[in-house]
Amino acid sequence: MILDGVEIEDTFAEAFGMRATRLIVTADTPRWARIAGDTATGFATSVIACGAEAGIERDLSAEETPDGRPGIALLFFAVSRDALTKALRDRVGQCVLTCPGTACYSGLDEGERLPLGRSLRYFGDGYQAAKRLGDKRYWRIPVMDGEFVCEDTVGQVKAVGGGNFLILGKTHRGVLAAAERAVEQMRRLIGVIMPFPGGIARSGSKIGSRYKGLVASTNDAYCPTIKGIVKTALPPSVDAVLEIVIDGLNEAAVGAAMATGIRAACAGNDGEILRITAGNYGGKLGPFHFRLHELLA
Amino acid sequence: MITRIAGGRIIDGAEDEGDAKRDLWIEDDRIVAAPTDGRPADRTIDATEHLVMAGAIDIHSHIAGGKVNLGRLLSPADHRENPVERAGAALRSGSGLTTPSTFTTGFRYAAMGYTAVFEPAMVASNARATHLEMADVPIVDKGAYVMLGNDEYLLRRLAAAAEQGEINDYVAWMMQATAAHAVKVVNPGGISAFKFNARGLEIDEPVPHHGVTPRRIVAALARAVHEIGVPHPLHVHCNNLGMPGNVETTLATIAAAEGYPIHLTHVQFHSYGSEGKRGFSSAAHRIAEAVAQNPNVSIDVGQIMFGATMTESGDTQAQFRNRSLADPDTWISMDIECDGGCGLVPMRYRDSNFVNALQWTIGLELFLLVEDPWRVFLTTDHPNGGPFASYPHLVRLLTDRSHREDCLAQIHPAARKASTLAGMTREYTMREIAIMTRAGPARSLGLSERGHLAPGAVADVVAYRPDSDVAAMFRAPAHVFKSGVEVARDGAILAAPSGTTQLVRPAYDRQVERHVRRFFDDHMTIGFDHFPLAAGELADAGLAVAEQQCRPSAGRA
Amino acid sequence: MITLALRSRPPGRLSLAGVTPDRLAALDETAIAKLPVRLGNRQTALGDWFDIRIAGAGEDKLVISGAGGDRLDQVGGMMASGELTVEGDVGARAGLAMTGGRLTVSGSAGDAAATAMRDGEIRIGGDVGEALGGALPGERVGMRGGTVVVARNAQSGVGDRMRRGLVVVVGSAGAFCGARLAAGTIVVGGGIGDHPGIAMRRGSIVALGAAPRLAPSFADCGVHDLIAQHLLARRLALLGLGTLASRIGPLRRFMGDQAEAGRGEILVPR
Ligand SMILES: [Zn+2]
Repeated sequence: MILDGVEIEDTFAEAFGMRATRLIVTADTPRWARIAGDTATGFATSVIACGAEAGIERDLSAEETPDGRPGIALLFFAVSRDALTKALRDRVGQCVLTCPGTACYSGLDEGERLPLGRSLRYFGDGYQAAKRLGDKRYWRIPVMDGEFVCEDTVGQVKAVGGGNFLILGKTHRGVLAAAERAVEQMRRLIGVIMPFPGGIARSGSKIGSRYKGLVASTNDAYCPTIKGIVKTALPPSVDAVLEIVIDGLNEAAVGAAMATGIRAACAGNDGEILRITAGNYGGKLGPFHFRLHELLA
Repeated sequence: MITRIAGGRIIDGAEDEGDAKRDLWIEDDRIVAAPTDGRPADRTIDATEHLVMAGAIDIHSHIAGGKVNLGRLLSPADHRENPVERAGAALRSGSGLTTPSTFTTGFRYAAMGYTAVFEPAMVASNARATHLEMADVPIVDKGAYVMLGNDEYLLRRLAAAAEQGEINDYVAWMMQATAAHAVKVVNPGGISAFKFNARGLEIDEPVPHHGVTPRRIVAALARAVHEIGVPHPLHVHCNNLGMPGNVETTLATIAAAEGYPIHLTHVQFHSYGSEGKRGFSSAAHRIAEAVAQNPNVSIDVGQIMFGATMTESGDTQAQFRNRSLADPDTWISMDIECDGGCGLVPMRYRDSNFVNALQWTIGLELFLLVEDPWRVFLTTDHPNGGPFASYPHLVRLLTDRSHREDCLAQIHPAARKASTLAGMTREYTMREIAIMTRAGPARSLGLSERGHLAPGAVADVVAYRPDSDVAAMFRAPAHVFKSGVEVARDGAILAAPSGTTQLVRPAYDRQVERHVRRFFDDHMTIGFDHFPLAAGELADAGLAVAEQQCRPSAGRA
Repeated sequence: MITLALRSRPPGRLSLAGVTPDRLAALDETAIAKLPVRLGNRQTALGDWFDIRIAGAGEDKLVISGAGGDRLDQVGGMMASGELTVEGDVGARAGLAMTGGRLTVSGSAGDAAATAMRDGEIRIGGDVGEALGGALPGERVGMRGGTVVVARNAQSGVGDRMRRGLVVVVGSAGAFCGARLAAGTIVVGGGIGDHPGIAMRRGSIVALGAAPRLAPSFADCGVHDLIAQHLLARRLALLGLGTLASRIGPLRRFMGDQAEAGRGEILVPR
């Protein structure tokens, strides 16, 4: 398959089951909602060392939030309910509770609920109070600029993590520009995040390492600077590769994001981009397989 | 007025012969032999194929006294949700299932074929109020057991190594003073110990202040009750109620009686081992063995029935322990005059709860393992194990093995596995039911004119319409006669005569009054002269008092 | 829809507990007429008092109409779902122990409306008597959940021992409003009587009328425009109480009752 002059390899991205939730963080201004969101989703590129993968889903207008203030929707992904619970507690506790003027709500009302405000309330040292309005229960924790309001529990769903595609091109500059085009379009979608810096990863990895104790190491088959001495997957003219990794609330959202991203990366191609491919483990590890040709059909 | 109950199957537990199909004759308030002079009946009740028994007698049911009112106070929802309409011009309305109001208590008992109910936990200082409250319970005969064994005076005299004769005089005086029918000891010494902050008391552990052991208290009281000739033996609620492993205490209590008659009440709560992963197991077989080996012992079971109820007990120590189980979360503990008191804890027994489920099986095991129906009586310790309204279901559990096993299948699986109930094939016969609910309690309580159907007996008679569902049959008997008056038909109350107040008045040496008077002067807020119910006081208040005789063989040891 | 038209004012208190749309839905007119209802301490039948009409099947809707409804007690009692509308007044304990559904009374309600309520919604068009959402004698808690809106005034004891839920009185409330409050929210649009929140442990009383006289055991914590107030305003707006919601701005916060657990709040205009 050729798209805008780019070869789409007939392969698939292999993705995994994760647990995910959405938080809505509000603040006095959009700027402070964004600061809270950036902070809470920082250092969250990969569950390998960050405990969770997280990102900003979108900005919310005042009309869209529970308390009528500007806000931001954040998505969090982790390998299990327990890991998600812990990540939420730590991240909201350290990055939202601390952030001036914020409040934090569940943005997902499905699935078995995870404790959030219920865990954070103890910061109130006995001065915290619960408030139930309608079918929601909030904790009000006194802080120096008023009260930190945090919903008692948040919903969570079974989600999909690790959807991906790789952009192969002639130069670093050209591949980066294509990846940026892709991320810009993908960020308009609901239900997905691209957890790596700026949505883009350069350090594609393979499973295992020659060093004991390292579970993953550089994906040498896609590293152009050693292509002459390894069993490379790169055509001779490819000198740069970048990857976009997608976590989504469901399979459809991840697939749609991949298709959008690939199309955007290929659109306006001026000969810099040569090929699009995807990472997989032979289909044995992850239950979700996104075939590139099917996504783009 | 002669009534003929025609065509029924007479099941009289007190008669040795089997069931007989014959007419039963009633003249006024007595059962009579069939008239030989050809006098016709004024009315004939067609009881063809009906099971005809004497009125049932509940030997242990908390129906009056301060704790019952406190129980009502703690369970407004019981009254809100269970209103009982006035069923006729001469009748009264009421409310409540687990803590029914007085009228409802009497009507509901009578409608189920009960004609006598005994309140087992009368605080001596509250005797007057208890009797007046009982008098408010219509139709059924009533009597009360006065609680001794944690009372300050007795403990002091035992600590001072008083002679048995003095103890006997005090017990007899107290029974007369409180118009009691029998004597009960609740958690011997434990309630006094509780006031010194003890949370439990073992049978050979001295009460903190007095240094008297429960063993000594049980021995002294069992002997006193026997020697002053009270028909009903000492009614014992053992130490360590509800505690895992308390079977040892219960067996030690039997030994403590030193061969004198004792009645162990709500034994289900006292038949626990401490085996198994959860440290809680059935010891029903050990109790049943002990009952078989000790002819001086009788028991009532105190079966628990699943659902919400109120626990009302004189055992403030145990109830204080139980407060954490309160459902809803509310409880009361109180005491009068440092004499006695009560603890109230609402409870919800769940078949899905391992402990509750095992308690349920333990009660049924006791019923099925104790072979002599004359020495095991049907109770739920109303309302502690469940309301008395659940008796019909309990009868079905005892008489209908397949129903019992259906129920067993629904309880907590670990409790079902731990119990030997599944292998028990015994089904109570109607004759055994008649013994355990009529003849047995009557004999134990000295009610010579009740609990049987021989000529001369009080005409308390019940006719059950046979039904394959035994519970339905026992819930609403076709005809209930109290002293010859038909008071209920098919579960509906027809008339509401007052029952009698049963009591026993053992003799004592009046010397004892001088000592007790001094104690009252020094320690009690009520004057000695105001404490006893005066002779005729109950009659003056409109109560029909019926005194039962002491055993003639009684005498000082 | 089932309509029960009260023929005349009953001679005593008539309890309609259990006469609810969810329970009547499956019955025909004859069966409904036979339903037992208590007049005082006597059992009577629903058909003794009401003309019963069923129009259309399968709907959980019940309408009670006719003058003299002030003698009808426990209207909506034990209701779990459906809609019960009363055209006129009701007596005491309206919505007793409701667990769901919606009870709408166009007129006024007597004492102890919404007592023992767990969930659902009650709307009273007129006034209510004492102990709205309060505890019955002997009960440890009053209302345990749900929403009650009273369009006019409430007498004393609003939310006494209430544990959860939202009570809104658009008009004024009498003395002891929110006394012994365990938790939950009470909003009063108009004036509020003496001793508000006395012995309250947690929960909120939002008194938007003239500032009430507070016991000295309530501590002034300053004027705030808290997020919780925004959330409450949103909830009120959703209940169609936009005018009341718009009055929730910065409010002065008193915490109390310091003679009890002292974690409750009374919010008053600054
Ligand atoms: Zn008892």
